[in-house]
Amino acid sequence: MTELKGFQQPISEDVIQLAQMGNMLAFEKIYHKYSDASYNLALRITNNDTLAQDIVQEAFIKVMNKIVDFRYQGSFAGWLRRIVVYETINRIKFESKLHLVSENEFLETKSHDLFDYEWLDACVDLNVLLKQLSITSRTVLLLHEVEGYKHKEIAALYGKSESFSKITLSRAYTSLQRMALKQEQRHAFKR
Amino acid sequence: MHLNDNQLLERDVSNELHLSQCKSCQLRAANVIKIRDKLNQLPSESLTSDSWEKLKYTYQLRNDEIKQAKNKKQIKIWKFSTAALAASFILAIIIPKILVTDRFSTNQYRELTLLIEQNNLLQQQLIKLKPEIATETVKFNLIRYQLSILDQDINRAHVQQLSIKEKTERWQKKQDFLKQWLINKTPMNTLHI
Repeated sequence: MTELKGFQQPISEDVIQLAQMGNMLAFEKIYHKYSDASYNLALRITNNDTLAQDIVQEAFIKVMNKIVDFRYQGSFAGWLRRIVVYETINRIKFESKLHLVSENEFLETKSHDLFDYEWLDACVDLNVLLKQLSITSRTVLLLHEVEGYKHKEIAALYGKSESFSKITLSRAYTSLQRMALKQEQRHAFKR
Repeated sequence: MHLNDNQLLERDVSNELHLSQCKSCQLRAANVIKIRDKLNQLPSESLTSDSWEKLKYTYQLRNDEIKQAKNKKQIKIWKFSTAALAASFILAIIIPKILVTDRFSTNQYRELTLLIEQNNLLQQQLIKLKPEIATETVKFNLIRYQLSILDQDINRAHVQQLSIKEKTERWQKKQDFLKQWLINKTPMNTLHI
């Protein structure tokens, strides 16, 4: 059986109920269970350690203040992750690091060749490539492909249309493919 | 027609039929899954071990700030309402005095007016100590509660038009309470309303 990681880990309702009553030990349990997942999500998106730590702190303070509003509709981890994602998006907007493209640039093109072969197979360091993507591309790619967000949800986060999310994801993959191939070529020359 | 990349990335029911029959799209869908798996295996970092302590400290600090701000607001309201109450009582005593001077002794009125003014001054003194009080919320709330009972009692005496003597007694009681608190700062145990 595979061990559940990050936001996939469940937490008992007893702990949530205790936290809703203001029990700090219960909060500590919640924190230890999900803080690293929250930190990794924020860090991968922002690519900034200090900012990511700050986001985690703010997000958990919000969790502590709002936990009484949690109504058990959906998983607790999903609810908590939404707070972390909102905090991250708001902070990068605030830090003016989010360079949004105007809506008319999102003319959907229907590519058919991005997944003709598994171009990430030869990738040496995926993390380095991700850091080279624009913050918007990286955010959409991670939210959609790693965190399982739908285009509709990402669009809502940015206050944009679904096309924005679709095109940004497609562009992110195109850039990632180009960089992966370059990286592969460089390593082939070295050999 | 084959599925485009966007359809492969977020499939819906309408795509499934084509996918079940098309080898080429099945291969591309499998590549999407492999690429996703790679993205899901990114190295993980951990927060420092003292991060929970830092968070707890920040959380408590912010809560204290919120509580203090609330207390300040309450003190402001209290300060205003008590001053207004004292002023209204002075007026309530002076006006009948002007109208019916011969019915009551001027000295009794003067004594009562003086007592109200003294009470007002003492209460102002107590309010000036608010930073000291604000840190002891429970104590502060108890004082406020006891004062409100005394004020209600005084108010009742005026509304029911009790005798000057009875009114003076009630104001005296409040003055004793205020004096006692200002001297000992622990009157709660000794006050009997």
